[in-house]
Amino acid sequence: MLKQVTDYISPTEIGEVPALLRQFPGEAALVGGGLDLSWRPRKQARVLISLDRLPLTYLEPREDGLAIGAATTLLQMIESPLLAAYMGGFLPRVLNRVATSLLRGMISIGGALVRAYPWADLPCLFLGLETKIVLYNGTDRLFSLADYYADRSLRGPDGPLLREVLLPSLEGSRVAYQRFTRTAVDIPLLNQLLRVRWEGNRVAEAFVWLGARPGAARRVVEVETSLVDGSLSVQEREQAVVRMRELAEVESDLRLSADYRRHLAGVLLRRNLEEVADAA
Amino acid sequence: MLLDFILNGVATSWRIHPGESLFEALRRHGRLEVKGNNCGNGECGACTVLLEGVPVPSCALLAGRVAGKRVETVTSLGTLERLHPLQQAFLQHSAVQCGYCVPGILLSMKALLDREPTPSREKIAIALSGHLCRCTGYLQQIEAVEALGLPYPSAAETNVVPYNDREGGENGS
Repeated sequence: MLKQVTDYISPTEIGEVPALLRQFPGEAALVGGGLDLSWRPRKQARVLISLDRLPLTYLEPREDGLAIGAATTLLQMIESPLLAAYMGGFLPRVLNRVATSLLRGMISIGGALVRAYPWADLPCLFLGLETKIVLYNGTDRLFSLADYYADRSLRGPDGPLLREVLLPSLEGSRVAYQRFTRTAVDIPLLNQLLRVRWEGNRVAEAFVWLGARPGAARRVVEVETSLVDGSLSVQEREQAVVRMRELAEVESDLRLSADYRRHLAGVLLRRNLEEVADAA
Repeated sequence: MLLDFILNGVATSWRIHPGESLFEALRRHGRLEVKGNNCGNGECGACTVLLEGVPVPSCALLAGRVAGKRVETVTSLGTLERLHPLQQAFLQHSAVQCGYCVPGILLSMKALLDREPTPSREKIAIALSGHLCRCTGYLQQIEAVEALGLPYPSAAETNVVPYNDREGGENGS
C-alpha cells in the first residue's frame, strides 16, 4: 500500500500530462506498468498519473523502422508479428528471457527505459540498436537514447513523458545479445550486445555495449575498432576476446567480483562474435 | 476512489485507496482465493490474476490500473462440484501438494492454453517461470498441462467428474 498517495488520475488526452506534472511539482509519478512504484515506493509521490487511458500501446511500421508506444508491455512486444519480422525476431527472442512470464505482462518499454536500472537488460539492448525516443512536454522532441541518458536534466521526477520508442531498420546489420545470470529468472550480472554491419565479407561497423558492469551500459570502443575491416575469423575473434578482458570497465559488487566480470566479458563476446559470424 | 471493473464476469464497483494494490483490494473485499502474505513484489506468482486474459501478479499491480478491465481469479475456473479440466488434470498428475501456489499457476496455464492450445514443453516451462512452487518441483504441473488432451474443452463442455466423487475419496488420494 502506497499510503501517501491521495490521488489517482487517469488522463484521456496526452496533453493533460504536462499540465498535471506542473500542477503537482515533485509530488506526481507517472504510472505505466507501475512495477517500479511497487518495488521502490517514492515517499514524495502523492499523485499517481496513470497512462492506461492514453493511446500509448502500439507497434507501428515507420518509414525507416518501427515505432513502439511507451506503454507497450514486453509481452505485447514478444507477441508482435512486426517485431518478429524485425532483425530476424531478435528482440522477441531476447525479451522472452527478461524477468519472468508474469512481469513481462506488466513491464512497459517506456518505464523500463526511463528507470534504466544499470543491471537491467533493456537499456543495453536498446542502446545497442541505436534507438531514438520521443519525449513529450507539450510538444514532441526527438533524442537518441544515448543522449537521453547522458543528459540528466531530461530525466527529472516531473517528466517529460517518454511517449514513443523508435527502432531504426538497421538493414545489413547482425546483432547478438548475451546475458549472464545465476538463475533463469535472475537479473543479469553482466550483459553485452554486439552489432555488426557487414559490407561483403568484411566488417564495416561494429558496436559493443557492456551493461550490468554493475554500472550503466557503456560502449567498448577499442574492441569495436579492432573488429572493423576484419572478417571475424577465429583468430580475430580470439584477439578481440583478449582485448575485451583488458579493456572491460567492470567493478565488484555483492554478487560478482570484478575479476569474474572481466572474464565473463570475454566469454560473452566470444559467444556474440560466433553468433554474428555464423549468421553472416 | 471508486473502482469499476469486471471481476469474474460480474460488474463490480469498489471503493479503494488510490495507492492500494489489486491484491490488497481483493483481500479487503473478501476475495480470499487470492493467496495472502506472499512476496509482495511480483516474484512468487501466488497472487496471480488474469487481467484482460494476461497473467499478472496482483500484489505488484496498482488497483487503479484495472479500471474498466476484466479481472479473473481462480474462482472463474471451476468449482469443487465442477472442476475445470485444468484443475482435474492437476489433481490427476499430483501437481498439487500444499496448494499455495496452485491458484496462480492454474491461471497462468489457462492464459497459455487460451493463446496456444498445444504449447511445447518449453513454452509451458516459460509460462511457469513467474511462479515459485516448493512442493512439486514443477514436473507434474508440466505433465498435467501436456496430458490434458489438447485442445482442451471448456468445463461447460466436459462431463467433469465431481471432485468428491473421485476414486480414492474426498482428498483424491
